Amino acid sequence: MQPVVTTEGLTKKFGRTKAVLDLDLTLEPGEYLALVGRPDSGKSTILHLLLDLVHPTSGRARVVGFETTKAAYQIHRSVGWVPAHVVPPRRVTIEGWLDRTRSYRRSEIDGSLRTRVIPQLDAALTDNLSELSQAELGLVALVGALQKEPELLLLDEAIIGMRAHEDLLEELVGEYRSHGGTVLMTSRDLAKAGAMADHVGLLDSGDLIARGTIDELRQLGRQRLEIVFESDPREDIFEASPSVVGAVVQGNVARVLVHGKTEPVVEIARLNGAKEIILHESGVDELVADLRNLGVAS
Amino acid sequence: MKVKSVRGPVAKHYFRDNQVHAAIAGTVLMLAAAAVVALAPSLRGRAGAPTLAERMPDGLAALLGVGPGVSFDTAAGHTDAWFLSLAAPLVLCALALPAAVRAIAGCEATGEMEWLAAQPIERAQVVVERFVAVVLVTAQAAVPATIMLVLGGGIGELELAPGLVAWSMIRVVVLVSLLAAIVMMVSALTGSLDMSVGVAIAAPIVAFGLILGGESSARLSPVRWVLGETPAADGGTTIGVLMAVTILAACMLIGSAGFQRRDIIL
Repeated sequence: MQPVVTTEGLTKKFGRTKAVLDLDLTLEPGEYLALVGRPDSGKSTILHLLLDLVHPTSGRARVVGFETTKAAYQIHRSVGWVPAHVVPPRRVTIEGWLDRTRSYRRSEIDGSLRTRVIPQLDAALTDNLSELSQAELGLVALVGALQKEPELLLLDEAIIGMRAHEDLLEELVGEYRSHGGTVLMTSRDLAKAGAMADHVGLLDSGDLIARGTIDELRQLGRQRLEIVFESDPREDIFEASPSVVGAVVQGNVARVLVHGKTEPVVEIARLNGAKEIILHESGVDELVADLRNLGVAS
Repeated sequence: MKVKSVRGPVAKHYFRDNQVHAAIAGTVLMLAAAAVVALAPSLRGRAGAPTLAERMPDGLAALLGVGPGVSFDTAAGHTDAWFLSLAAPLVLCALALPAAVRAIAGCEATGEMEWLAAQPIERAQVVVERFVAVVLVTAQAAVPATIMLVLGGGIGELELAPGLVAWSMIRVVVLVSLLAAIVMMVSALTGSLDMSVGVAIAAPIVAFGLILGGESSARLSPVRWVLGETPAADGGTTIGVLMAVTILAACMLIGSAGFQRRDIIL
């Protein structure tokens, strides 16, 4: 099976600003990838490039078998799209808007999804879209995207946008994936995105600096462990562990900086009477900074 | 496998989105037409009317569509002066030009285009179908007034041939559509809301201003090509209308090509 998304040297500049740099990305059928990065790291621009809403400065992208710059509307037939900020037309009902999504296609669309999901928003299909919150609009857009049974689902900042209905978002995306659907999502929330997606791509200044599972990415950077012992441990307790890059012991509490796997450190702590081990997960800012400082990302 | 995009939904949706504005403009225009019909009998044969037209500056007389042999006290002069040369184009411009601005640049400024442009439709379709919707909304708003003027022949003794009234109103719609096409072309090429609004304001001012500037500048105005000197009296020229339609089509071609090539403003 050919990849759902392939990009080769995809670059986008807005004037002097480099939004996406030389991106080589492949997304296999059924995969769920979260592109995570700080604001303005190029996450949304990548999705816009894949939809050909903006044209690449150089490089190329193929989505669902079509070149983005040559057959955008063919791509749009097979891609479900939920923008970060959903702006519907004025004076249109939920049903009217979902019907519009249907009207752009020749094939029929299964309408059962809307009748199941919209009542869960405490809304009726006849309600005007202007009465909905941004989170609710996001979910209506998601229903619109899913009802056409897309090969690829693109979600821009869905975790933040639909925070109020996070469970429903996960349920719908989970259902879609159970039928073999492929998802590309962007997010600023590393922990949530890592928990939801199979893989995470870490973006910084338009550059994809690392890709892997959330655990693999965390091991590339430095992880912070706080360990509480039953009694005061020796100060050199972690010296033997090669993955420990720094440790401070104060009374019965040790703060340990780990680069690599945490399991050996946890094992040492347990053998020495640790009663509580807390992993302080790095946010996207810390992880990016770590990867840059450690030379993992150039 | 390549599948052709569906034609028509963008126009249909944009037509629907503008129904409230169309209803307001249609009502205002119909009331203006009713006033013209109601006033016609009282103006007929008034002694001062021909003199008033003669005393007017040439530019103003040309703008109001009165000229040699056509004065305010004739059915044609009366309808030209108050309705076909002023009320109808201005009210329809007030409907069509903002709709043309909203169609592309306005839609990008609000963020609505980010969703629309990702639907399985070609970019050119967005421009052309939304323009078609603007034309249809304009024509729709003109219908009640046209009926009122036609009925005016029986009720208010307006005595204008129904065919001539309808042809005149069609030409007004063509004129307004041409100005809307220019606005949409700029909007599609640039995506700039400020520039689109500027052109929407400037286009009618320039078009009607050229008429006020005298005979030589009036020849450059699309108002003159499309409506002629005295719209209801002489029926204008078909060549002028064809010229306007050709320019309008060129605007759409250029606008569509430009919109296809540029980035959507997000």
